[in-house]
Amino acid sequence: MPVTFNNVSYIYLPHSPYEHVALKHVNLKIEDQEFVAIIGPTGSGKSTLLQHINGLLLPSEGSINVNEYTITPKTKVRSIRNLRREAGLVFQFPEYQLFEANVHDDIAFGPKNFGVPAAEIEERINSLMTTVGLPTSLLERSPFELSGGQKRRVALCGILAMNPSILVLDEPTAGLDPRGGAKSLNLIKKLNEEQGKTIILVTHEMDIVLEYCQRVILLIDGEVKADGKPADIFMNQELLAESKIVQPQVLQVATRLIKGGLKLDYRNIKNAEDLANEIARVKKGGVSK
Amino acid sequence: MKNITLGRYLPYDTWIHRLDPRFKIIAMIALLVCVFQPLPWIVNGFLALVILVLLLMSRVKISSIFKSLKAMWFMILVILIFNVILIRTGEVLFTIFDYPIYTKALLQTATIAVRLTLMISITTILTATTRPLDLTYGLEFFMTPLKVIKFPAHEIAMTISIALRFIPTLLEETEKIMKAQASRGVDLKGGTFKQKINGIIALIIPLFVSSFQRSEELANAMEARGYNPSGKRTRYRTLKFHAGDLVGLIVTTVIVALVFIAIYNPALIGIGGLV
Ligand SMILES: Nc1ncnc2c1ncn2[C@@H]1O[C@H](COP(=O)(O)OP(=O)(O)OP(=O)(O)O)[C@@H](O)[C@H]1O
Ligand SMILES: [Mg+2]
Repeated sequence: MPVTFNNVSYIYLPHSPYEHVALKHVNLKIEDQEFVAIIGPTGSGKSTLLQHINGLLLPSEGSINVNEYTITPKTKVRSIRNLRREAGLVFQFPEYQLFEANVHDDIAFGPKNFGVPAAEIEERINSLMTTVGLPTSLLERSPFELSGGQKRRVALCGILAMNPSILVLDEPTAGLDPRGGAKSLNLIKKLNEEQGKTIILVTHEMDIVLEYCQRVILLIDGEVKADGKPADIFMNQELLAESKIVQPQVLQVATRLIKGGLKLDYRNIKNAEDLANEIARVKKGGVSK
Repeated sequence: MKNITLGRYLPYDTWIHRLDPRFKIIAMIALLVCVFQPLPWIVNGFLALVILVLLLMSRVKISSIFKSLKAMWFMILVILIFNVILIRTGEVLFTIFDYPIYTKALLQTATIAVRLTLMISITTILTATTRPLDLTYGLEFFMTPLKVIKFPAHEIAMTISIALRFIPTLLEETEKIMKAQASRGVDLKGGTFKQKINGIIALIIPLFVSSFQRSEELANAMEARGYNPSGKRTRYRTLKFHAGDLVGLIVTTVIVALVFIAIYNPALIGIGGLV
């Protein structure tokens, strides 16, 4: 079932000198199995928005529907406990949440809390380690001995082990090397395509958005400023200028080529390879001067 | 987490905010000393009035004082029970199940409750109107003479300011980890006792790990920039005593003088009959 935000506003520390309106009348609908990116400048309310999806924050105003759950300002946390299993939230720098004596127990922590039978947890752990590309020999190691990238994958495993139908990720590639980042995203894409999980992710890397996501939601100052296909948003020059978003690199090249007279269809371009193919297609068509 | 009001700096710009932290520390100690004197009720009332005015001037919400008092209820209850059992002088007010309750026991408890309230109010005024850093500068100023006897005044001030600096960071960190673990099914409010214990472990271990990491990074960063605790240093912000501070000092002296006259020579200010 979809994720719907109905006129959601959120205020941090209301009635205090630190009061801050982080979300303003947000309306959104994210369908099942969509792969959505949420972008926006720092402080625009992206993380705040994500935390509403699994009920960590309750809206100050409006309501949110996720699967069969409805979250309103008056919702009791008890009543939406299982929502946290269905909508798995992976925080930025999730390595900070590791604490168990070994990797195995840490991954098992989430599913155990939600009462998943032990035998099934074992099964899930084994298959997940392969899915995220970690050797099973790590299971007995302390999570604090792992490298940064490994820690992060273990943390991701910890969420995936709860088998959520919606996966929410806050800057999953922050602080990873480019290859590690691409690996994570390919994994996330696989989860979306093969297991049909809805993916909602926040990122500052526009190249990733263009390459992987079906839809982009642009937040500015807590308001939804734009919502649409990545290519359309990244080719909207007015919007780019106004919201200070940097175009993905391949589209920067494409924009120049189009300006120079090449009749590229930017909708076909998601990465460097697509760009090359598109140029070849146009050239073969004999459009060049 | 951030809605903890007790001891939090409020970023306003009132007359009290602008006072010299050194003066504010002296004034706080003076008022605290007054509050803890065996005072007749009329003087207590006068002190309470002064403190109320100060609270209003510094824009501290009165409700926040009572909120932080909530944590004290239990303590006051325990004191009450002890007093009822131990104090057996004065008149018998009434009896419960043949057990006499003496007026003195209740009065004593009420006095303690009032003192605690006033004490919390006074310290809240200081912390709400003084930036933590200014507070440590003030403390360092008073500790400096102790350097003569090799007391590490600067080091202690530095340690305090680092600790103060990291309180909000730690709170933020705690909130972040709590949210991350809540996303993995930790339920600190509901849940069985065992689940709660597990949840607390899941919170504390990452907090410790990141605090140790942070302190090591900080120590390295300070060393990399040549920090030397025994070095002589100058300051970007210097403390200055302004006219406002003088006014404050006079007012405080008058209040303290009145309170002490009221205790030792009440006739002098014409409240002799009331004491
Ligand atoms: N716990 C909090 N208490 C008070 N204000 C907060 C809190 N968390 C966030 N804010 C404020 O709310 C606004 C939105 O924060 P949020 O974390 O959602 O931004 P973001 O879009 O995720 O930014 P970034 O890209 O830097 O992660 C910011 O201005 C921030 O200062
Ligand atoms: Mg964020």
